[in-house]
Amino acid sequence: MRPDPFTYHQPKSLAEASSLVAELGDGATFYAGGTELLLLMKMQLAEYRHLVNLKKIDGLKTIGVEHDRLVIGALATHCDIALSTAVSKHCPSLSRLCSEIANIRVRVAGTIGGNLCFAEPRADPPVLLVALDAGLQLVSAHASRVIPASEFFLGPFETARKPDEILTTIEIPLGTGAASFERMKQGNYSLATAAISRSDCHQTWIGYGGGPPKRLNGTGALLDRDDGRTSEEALFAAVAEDIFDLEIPSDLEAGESYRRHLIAVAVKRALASLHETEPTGVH
Amino acid sequence: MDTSVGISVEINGALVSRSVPAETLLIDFLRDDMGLRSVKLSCDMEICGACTVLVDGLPMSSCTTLAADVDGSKVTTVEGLIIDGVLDPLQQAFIDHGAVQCGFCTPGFILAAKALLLRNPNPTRAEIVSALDGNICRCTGYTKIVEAIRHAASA
Amino acid sequence: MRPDLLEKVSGKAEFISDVSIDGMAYGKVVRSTEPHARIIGMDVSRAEQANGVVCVLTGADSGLLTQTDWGLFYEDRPVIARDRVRYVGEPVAVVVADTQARAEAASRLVVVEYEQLSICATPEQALAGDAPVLHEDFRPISDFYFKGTARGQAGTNVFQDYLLERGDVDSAERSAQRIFEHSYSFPGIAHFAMEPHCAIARFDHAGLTIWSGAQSPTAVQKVLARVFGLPIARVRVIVPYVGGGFGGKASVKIEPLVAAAARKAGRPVKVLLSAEESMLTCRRLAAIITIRTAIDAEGAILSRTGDIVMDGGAYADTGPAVALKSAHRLVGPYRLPNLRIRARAVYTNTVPGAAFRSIGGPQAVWATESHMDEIAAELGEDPVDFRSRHLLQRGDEVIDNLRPLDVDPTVMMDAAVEATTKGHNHASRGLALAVTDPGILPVAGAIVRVHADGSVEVRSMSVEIGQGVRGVLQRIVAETLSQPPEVIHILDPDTAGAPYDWGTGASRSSMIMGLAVEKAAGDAVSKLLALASEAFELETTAISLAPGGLKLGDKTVSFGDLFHAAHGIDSGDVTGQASITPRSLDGKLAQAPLFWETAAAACTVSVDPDTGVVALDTYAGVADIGRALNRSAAEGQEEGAAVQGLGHALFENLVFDDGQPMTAMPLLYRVPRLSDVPADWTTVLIENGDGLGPMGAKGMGEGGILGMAPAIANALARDHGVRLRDLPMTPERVWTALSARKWHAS
Repeated sequence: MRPDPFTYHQPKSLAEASSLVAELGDGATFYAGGTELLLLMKMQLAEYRHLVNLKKIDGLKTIGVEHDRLVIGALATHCDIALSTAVSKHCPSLSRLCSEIANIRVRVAGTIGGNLCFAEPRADPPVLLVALDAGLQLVSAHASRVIPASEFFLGPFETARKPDEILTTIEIPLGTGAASFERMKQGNYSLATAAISRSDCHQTWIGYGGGPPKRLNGTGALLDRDDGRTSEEALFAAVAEDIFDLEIPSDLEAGESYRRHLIAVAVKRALASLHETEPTGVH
Repeated sequence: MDTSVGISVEINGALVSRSVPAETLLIDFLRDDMGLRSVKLSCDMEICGACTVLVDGLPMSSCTTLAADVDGSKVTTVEGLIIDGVLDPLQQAFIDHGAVQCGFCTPGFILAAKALLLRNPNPTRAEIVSALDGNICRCTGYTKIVEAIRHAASA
Repeated sequence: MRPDLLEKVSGKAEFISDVSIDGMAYGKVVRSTEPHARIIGMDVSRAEQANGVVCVLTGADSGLLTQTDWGLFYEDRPVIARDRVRYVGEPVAVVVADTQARAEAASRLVVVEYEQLSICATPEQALAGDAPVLHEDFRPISDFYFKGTARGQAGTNVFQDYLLERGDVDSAERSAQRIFEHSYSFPGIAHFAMEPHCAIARFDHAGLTIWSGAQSPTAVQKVLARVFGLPIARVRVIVPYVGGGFGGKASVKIEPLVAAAARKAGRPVKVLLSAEESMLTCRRLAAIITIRTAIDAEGAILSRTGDIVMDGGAYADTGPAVALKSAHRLVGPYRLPNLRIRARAVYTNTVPGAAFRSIGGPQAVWATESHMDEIAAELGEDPVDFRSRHLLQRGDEVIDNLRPLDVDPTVMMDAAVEATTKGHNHASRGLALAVTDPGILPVAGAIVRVHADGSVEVRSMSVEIGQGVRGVLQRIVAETLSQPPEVIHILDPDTAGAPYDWGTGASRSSMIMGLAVEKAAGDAVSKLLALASEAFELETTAISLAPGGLKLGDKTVSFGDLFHAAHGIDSGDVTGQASITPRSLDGKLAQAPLFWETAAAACTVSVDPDTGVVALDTYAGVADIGRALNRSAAEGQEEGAAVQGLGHALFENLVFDDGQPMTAMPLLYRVPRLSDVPADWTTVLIENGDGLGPMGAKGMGEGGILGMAPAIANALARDHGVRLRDLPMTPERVWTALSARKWHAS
């Protein structure tokens, strides 16, 4: 399989990159790790006449702590994040997640920004980043804005990013910046993921393969009341109620009732690892 | 419109400069333009690892990487692991432990293992599993591949 | 040491997909998107006008072919679809262009118009009275590739109906104390060889030459000769290294299509399938198996019946042999005084079934070994004890008129049990045994040619597909000629230079080709001694071979010296040649099977009760192989086969939904990975030197795949209380079973 011919643009600045995509229109897109985009183009599932490479723009791979935030450049690869000491110190769940994405070659090439912008509903990072209350910085030639991750994901393969906007950084607040994360994965994609924030309010988010991360309000409330004696039965019941109206996929990989069960298991395990690990907020 | 891209790559120690169509995949560049036939096409979708090459010491799927993306990098294939006619310890260990059957996945496995040993010379079994879990071998059942890597690491 | 390994680790090994021929163009296959349809229109004009396109082969080009349909048991398969397609993936056109990329791009411009026909999506539908008949015209051919004739029923979709009978099952069941009956299912499985199918064809003044990753080059040669009306002598098949086959490249696959494209293009054409296309080319036959066993008051087995229905896909290929063997392999290493096993294979509108490592074996052993444990559980008996009471012994008859059993099943079972007992709870172990009769035709030939410089070339049609056959042949020739192995060169199989051989499969090459090269090397020795006797005027008894040449009394001469003395110049060669036939070894090869390929497998598993994920914790596989000709290669065959068994046990499933393949794609088809294989793994090779092959070897390489799935199922039943009868044992199925059990208990 091969992609159809395209023109490869290598801008040196964000403004140049954004303007290029704005000018070239529908046939152009940003290009980062390529692990998803090139595959789709090879399979003729996506067609672009212009790829605007972001990898030659300086500063988009930096990972570090700025004030009260862990700031991750969108062009950082999963491998970069997994190996970053700043990430492992302040956000170990993200380290672990990035060290387990797909396979090592995808981790070496794929970027966190590309992953988020692709908005694959079965991907793991969106769920954790939403629970971490991450902010995503979007930059175009003329403007810049930061939006909460929870407002970024609109649906399968659909985000709030405008075509000429470039996701440049992911900012994770340190104070509430820890969360636990578990996923249920048997094939190439997760069937269910769950992330619970460590903040006073136990924000509980899940990924279920059918849409953007979903917040479980009832479960979160139950966990807020948790005195360490919440029974599995009660937890599963709360999750079941929270996802009752959710349209859960059912396919060859797993049927609906099994998936619903796995979502509860993911929440249970995320809760268990939340209890196991020490908080790692600001020191 | 000219859709070519100029690239300059160090391939197995030799600097190569070429102009290639932008859509050229790294695997086609290496196999067809450079004659490096050890880079194998199998799944063609980043699943199996048969097309693995090292780019600056890290394993990548050459089937889903543009040749343009390795501009300025060092690319290594198994041909490049042989120094002055001497096999890399990993290559020798794969022979000695019978970690090869049909051999189609072998270059990818050796390179993925090489990348692991470059950053972690003494991996545990779990670390080997994590680094190699994305490489598929349909012949050996993996047992002898793990043996070979452990042996090469301890040698 | 295997001569192929150095080339393979250093990147020098040339596989079929690496081969290039001068003037070669590239073909991309256009495939049916319909499971069953009439082709009512095809527009190739845009493809023909696309950049770099040489031609487009379609069913309208059948005039290029002397014989338009081919097969191994039935001539049921068109080289290229003419007016009808019978499965999604069937070739309807081949676009030939000057580059692979252009062929791929232009192939998307071919437009095919179909008129849908009603389909047989499953064997149940295919067997129904009102089912559409996939092949109206049955043209069976006998003794063509496998011995015998398929017993199909014209006018139905049944292309094989085989019955294996012994004694009187009906009376046995009437006198039984208890009768146990269970049904099991086994899915279609992709071979998933790492190198997809690939072939290059060239027509020239000499005839047709084809380079192919074929396991059965002489079958390819025979079929191509018929399809193109050429004498066999004008069809040449060359096989470089092959990147895995497991049966998926056996018999004949894409070669007639590729040759037809080359015929139309008027220049050499290479067709390299994608991994996805390979999954649409052939698969293991899925099966539904009902098995019934009658037990007397003392708990002894009185009889067994089996009903096997196999999903053969759209074309029979070697499916009739697969069904027949599944009946044989359902028997097991047990005393069964009365037996009635019926095996049918039926056409459906899915990817054609084909040979796959131990044809019919994994399907049958899955059923029979699960069933054995289910009976033991019902009788309240330990499965080891229950099996022990019925185990056959060496010399017993498994199936009437076949060779008596040449292994000790008790020894094998004990070895597997012992290896998985250490540190484990006895009750948690799952066990499975198997006994199979490899369908080996004992016909092979080889040429061993000794050159003046002491190098030796070996010409045989045995294909190096990973099993290490070149290393085995090299070792045998080296030892027979008293030469160091490095001077022995095993050439690529090439029908232009090597004698007939049936093919590489059915665990036969080390044994049968091993015997052939041993005999051919022996012939070379005799000829060298005769030549030396003449040249040096010595009795042959005073001459022997020595590294690099010959020993004449206490003097050593090189082969160059020999030819110098014999020919006047130091050039020349001696060619040893031999054939193995059913009459070889004083007729010892005439009785089938040549050996029993047997297996014992034991394992322990753990289950995540929340998710149903099954993990293999410990595994032990035992094989009686007579003699290991290369220990690590032999162990590797066992281990690799067992891990393939792990694949169909837990993950793999080629699913068809109304004929549409749903998982025939590497991204969607989960094969075993390194993390699935436990560190606690034991491979036991039993060596008594009691095989008919070289140095007492038996064939091997298939047995390891047999026991894994039932051993896991039996461990799940014993240790976790759930009995699964459908493969693969996915987390969802295991969790569902666990949930049902919990609900039942509460």
